[in-house]
Amino acid sequence: MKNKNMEKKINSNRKNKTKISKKSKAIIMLQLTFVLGIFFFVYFFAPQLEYPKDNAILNKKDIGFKFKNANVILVDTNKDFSSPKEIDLDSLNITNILFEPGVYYWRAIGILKSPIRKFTINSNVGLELDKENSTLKNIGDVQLNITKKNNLGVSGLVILDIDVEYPVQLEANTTYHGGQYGN
Amino acid sequence: METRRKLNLEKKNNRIYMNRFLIILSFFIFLIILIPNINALGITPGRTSIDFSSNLQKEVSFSVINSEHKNMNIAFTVQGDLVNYIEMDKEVIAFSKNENSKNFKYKINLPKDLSPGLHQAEIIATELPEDIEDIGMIVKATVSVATQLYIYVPYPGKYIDVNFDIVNRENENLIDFYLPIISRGEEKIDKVKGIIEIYKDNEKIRTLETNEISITPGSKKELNLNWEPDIEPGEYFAYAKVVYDDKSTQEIKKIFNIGKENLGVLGISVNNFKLGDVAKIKILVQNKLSDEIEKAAANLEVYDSQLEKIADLKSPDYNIPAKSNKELVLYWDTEKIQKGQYGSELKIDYNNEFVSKNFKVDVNEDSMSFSGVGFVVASGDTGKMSTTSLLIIIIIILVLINLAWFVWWKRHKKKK
Repeated sequence: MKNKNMEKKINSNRKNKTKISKKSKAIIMLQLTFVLGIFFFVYFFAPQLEYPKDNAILNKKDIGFKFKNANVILVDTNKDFSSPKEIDLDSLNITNILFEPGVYYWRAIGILKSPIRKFTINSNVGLELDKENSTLKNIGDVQLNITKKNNLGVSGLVILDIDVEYPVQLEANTTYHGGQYGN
Repeated sequence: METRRKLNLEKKNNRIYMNRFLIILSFFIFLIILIPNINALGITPGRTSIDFSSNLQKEVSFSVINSEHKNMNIAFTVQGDLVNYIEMDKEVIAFSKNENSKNFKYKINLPKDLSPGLHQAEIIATELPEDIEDIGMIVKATVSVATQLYIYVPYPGKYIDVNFDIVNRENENLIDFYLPIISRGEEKIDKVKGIIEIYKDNEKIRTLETNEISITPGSKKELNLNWEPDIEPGEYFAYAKVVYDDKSTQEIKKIFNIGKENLGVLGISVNNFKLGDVAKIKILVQNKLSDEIEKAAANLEVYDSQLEKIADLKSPDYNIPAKSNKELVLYWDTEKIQKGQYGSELKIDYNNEFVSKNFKVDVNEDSMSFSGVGFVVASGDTGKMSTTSLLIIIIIILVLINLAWFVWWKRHKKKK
């Protein structure tokens, strides 16, 4: 009789244990679902920046931004985004944006905002001396500070705008020098 | 007979000489055409800007472009106050006509300390004829281009650069003062404000103060003040400075008008605009005087977000009949202008007087509009940011609830 009672007790304890382990499993599954849910939420809703890459140095001026899970981008010359320009590429119906040479910071904004990325647009300096027409021409994409260097020393000549020609009196032993103008 | 034969022979010889002369002449003309009359050279980037760090060692790449696709030599030289900290391996390199560009590097070895402010170096590429390898042997005129190195050493502590704009809102009897500022120091400034002193004939009339803001290193912001003048109409001077902690910037002086102006600016507009075209900017002005205004001329200066002047436009002189309106026209070539918002200052000179207005210029693909005033665009971190913050807060709350519930369940399980 005693033995039978003991057996019953053991069986009921086993049943309880199985019940608890089923509950635990369910709770662990719920926890997993919750964690995975958050992971998927972040994956599908956090903006992902593809191009330009962080610290990219670009020689072209028109930039085709590539990003996911965002509607607009913010571009700023300030690291802290204190004076950003908001650009909605879809509403403007454009794919590329033209930039002046310089350093820029950008981020995409959707339901969440992306981290900040930096890119640099390189400037091109180009100077042409046409000896036949005695002209200097700025063939780059930034204003040039033109100086003249000869046996007498260095002297400032002109600030030359892009694609503008400037007449010069050609002299021997003279170098016409062009450097980017402005800060 | 003999004479005729001699004459014929002479003619024949002359023809031969003539032909030879023509051949030689053509040859010389051909040679002249073949000799390149253009020297052209390119370099990219035009400038590399780096923030100073102690003992910085870095390699900087650049490319020289053979714009004319010709055989030539290029000589490299370095100049500027950073010359001792720049290493350039190559002195002279050869380009063949098939080479469009070549890539190079220079090394920067900065010292432990440099004085605050901007330090510069230029790596200069000079075109040499293909048979010359020494820059000192240049006989003809030639060209050189430079890739610049700018090293910015932050000012210790706090430092501010400032500009000053004034707008007379004549119809509302308001004067707006704007002070766009850039923080060039290495520390955050918690309290920055502008002080504007108004003078008439060397006598101080008023002292005004702008709003107070904070600014982080390297960023740009704007101080402003709307003033309802309670003094006689006329011409006044404004002296503005920015005060931060125990320091202040240098004073900037500007002249402005209070009260009704004899020449009113009624509007400024651009029709049928397409980005890249030459924009026809029409400024409608009103002569409020009973006499004709002679030789009124408009001058519009346009600035980018870095406060750099990007256009300086001038109109011809106009005569404006008494008590009538007149359109003054300016032209702006927007070929190199990109979409965006710019600041501008319009000044119209007439009868030894002037009117001055500030406008924001919005340049788009197919429109250009002039509006309001001020300069630096305000923060764009608006609605969308708060949604993000809200979502983050919701996620954090959910995680906390979940964690609390899990802990509770564990304890409950133990008790059982």
